[in-house]
Amino acid sequence: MSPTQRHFVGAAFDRWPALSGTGMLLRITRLNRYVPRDYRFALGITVRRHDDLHALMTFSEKRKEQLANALNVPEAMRAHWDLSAWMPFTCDISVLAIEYGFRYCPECLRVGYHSLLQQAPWLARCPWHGVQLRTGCHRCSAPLRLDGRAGAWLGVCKCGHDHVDDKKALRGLADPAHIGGVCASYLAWAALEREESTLLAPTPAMHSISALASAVPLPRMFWAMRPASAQAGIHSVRPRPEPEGRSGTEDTTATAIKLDSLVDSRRAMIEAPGRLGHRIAAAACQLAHQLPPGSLSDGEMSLFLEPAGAKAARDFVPAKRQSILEIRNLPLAQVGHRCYLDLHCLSKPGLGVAHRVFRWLGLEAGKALTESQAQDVPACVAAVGEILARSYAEGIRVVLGRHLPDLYRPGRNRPHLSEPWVLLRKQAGLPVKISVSWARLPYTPE
Amino acid sequence: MDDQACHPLLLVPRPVFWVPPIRALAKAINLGIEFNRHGIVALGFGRIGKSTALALLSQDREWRQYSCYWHSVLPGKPVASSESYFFNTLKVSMHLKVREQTQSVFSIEHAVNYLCEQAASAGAQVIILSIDDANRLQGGDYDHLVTLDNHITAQGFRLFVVLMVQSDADRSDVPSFDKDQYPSQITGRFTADEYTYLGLDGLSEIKEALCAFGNQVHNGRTFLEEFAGNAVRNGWHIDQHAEGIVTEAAKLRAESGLDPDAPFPMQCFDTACYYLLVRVAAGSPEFNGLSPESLRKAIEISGLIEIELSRQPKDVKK
Repeated sequence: MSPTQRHFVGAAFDRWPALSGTGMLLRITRLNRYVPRDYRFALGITVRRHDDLHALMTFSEKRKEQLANALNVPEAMRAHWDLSAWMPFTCDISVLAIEYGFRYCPECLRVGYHSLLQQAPWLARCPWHGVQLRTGCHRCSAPLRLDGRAGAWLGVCKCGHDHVDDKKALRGLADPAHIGGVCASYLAWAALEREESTLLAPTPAMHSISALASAVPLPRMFWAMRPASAQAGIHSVRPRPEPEGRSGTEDTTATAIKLDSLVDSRRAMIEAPGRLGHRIAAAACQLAHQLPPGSLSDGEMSLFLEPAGAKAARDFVPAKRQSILEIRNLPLAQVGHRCYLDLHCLSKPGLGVAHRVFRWLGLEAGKALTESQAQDVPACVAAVGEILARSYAEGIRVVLGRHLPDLYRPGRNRPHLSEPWVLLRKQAGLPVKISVSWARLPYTPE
Repeated sequence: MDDQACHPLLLVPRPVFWVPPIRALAKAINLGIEFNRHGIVALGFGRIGKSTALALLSQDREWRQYSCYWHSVLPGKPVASSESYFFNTLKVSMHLKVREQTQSVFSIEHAVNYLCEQAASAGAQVIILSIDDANRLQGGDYDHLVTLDNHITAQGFRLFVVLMVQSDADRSDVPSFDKDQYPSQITGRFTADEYTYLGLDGLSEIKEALCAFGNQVHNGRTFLEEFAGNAVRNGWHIDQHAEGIVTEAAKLRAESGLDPDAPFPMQCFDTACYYLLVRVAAGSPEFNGLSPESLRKAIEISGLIEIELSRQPKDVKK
């Protein structure tokens, strides 16, 4: 130790494998009896009252560096403070920061331990204690925030409940070797997965990566920690490519070329390729049949039903008003045997992600498909079809809701929007596997 | 730099080695822990080897009967000791960051947390706090030690304080430590056991210490082999001169009117050994043994007589 370096209680790194930056700050401040006012003196870190210290210690490179320098943290441990190292896919780091809250195991926190592994939403239970991971306080259920309030001890909720037992925190983890082993296995798996998996998140995203809780395929050793049931408001699907040569379906490559026009953001309409056209027509037809009597005019009803080849029911009651252009534009527009889809009626998050799936595929105008692209086109077309079909189904409900307030009554057709989180997994020599997780937005935009 | 230039005997500080007084102190500490004491007072004259003993005991673990974490503190000598001064001294000795202004209770917890964490890291239940120059402690400091003991006990650990007191620190006719002045909570914890730390006492201890000194090993060779290789091959060992050293020391003491059988201070012993081996033995290629004159010179150089004279009350000094 050089003469200028200082000891800190709680900085015996070898006994705390894979400790997060937050965990490190928590241990140091608790065991050295530092309040936020002391952070600058002791650690060289300046915090403000409303700063979320957990987010700072995860995403602020500067603060992490300051803490690491103050504590002389070894590089190997510093690497564990990088949240993207714990993600089994590559993605933009800003996506991880959305709605990023402190998630902890009560048993681990009691001894002053927190690892970024516990932030992974695909793990519902603590890998070491089997306890449900929590975000809220044990006593008052309010989210447990680690902030820079004056005089506050980290780990103490505003209600006064202390989640850290200093006595146990001093003694250390019961089995650090086991914890280190589990973290090392997870990190090795995540590193391998990152080579193959990419996350396409909506921009801007409203939901957190918890939307992927059930979409990430965990290794066997973590199966017991998976979420027991699907999260409310989250729906995951794995779109399957249309089998080649199926009667009545369009050639996949032709479909891809039509959908590729999505990449051009100036377009207001695209030609709906075969299978997508059928799905969109069916969605419009189904909704038209389920609308309350007197919702659509005669002309609007026929536009909704025509692409699906359906007819209005005998008891159909038309609306006693003139046709509205905005509603008339919702169904597919048929020109000859071609169908065109107005992109304005698609939800924006869905359209944005569909764009990015095609960008990932990397089709270039005038160039032949590479072997790998040819392998991936069917899966991408299926995924984009899924995204556009659902974005359409949700989009037309929102547009109709502007004119038909009755649609907002509780029921299946109540307008709402979801955002798609797409996980692409591309193994060498194999077609890409895509899963789409739909996360329902907390409110419906106008 | 050749091998011999890097030899530990030629560097400062010179290596410390086990001698009977250190072994006896180790035994006293083990007994204190075994019999549920929370401290021991070790009294000894200056330059007799008390600090060296603590240094060796803190580094070596083999003597420990119980799993212990050892922490050493050197107290200052403030005009008036306060709780925050005492615990800040502790924190400084732990290299912990000391705030300019802090509530004393946080200082206590900070220091206690450090000791307990280190003990837990070492898998130890007993925390040995050695306070060298404990004669500098003031009455209030013993109360702070009680506070420390209470906090450490509350954390589930056990404190054992080794108070190394220099008995002739102020004036040799005034005791530096008077255990009767403390109340029961202090006496019961720390000062019930008194141990007198002596230098090398008698021929057998000097012989054992000479043997330990000469047999220290560096790079696979003993110190004697390194500096007096030819003589060692001819069957010489420095411990053969134990009796000569005792005799010469007794003569010199008698000449100065000192007690001829007084224990040999470790500082003087170390200097004498160094002189005999490095200057006398290594200085002569034909060296085959030490003469009485060399032994006498070594004792003179060691400063034994001056140190022992300084311990005498001033009216007795010649």
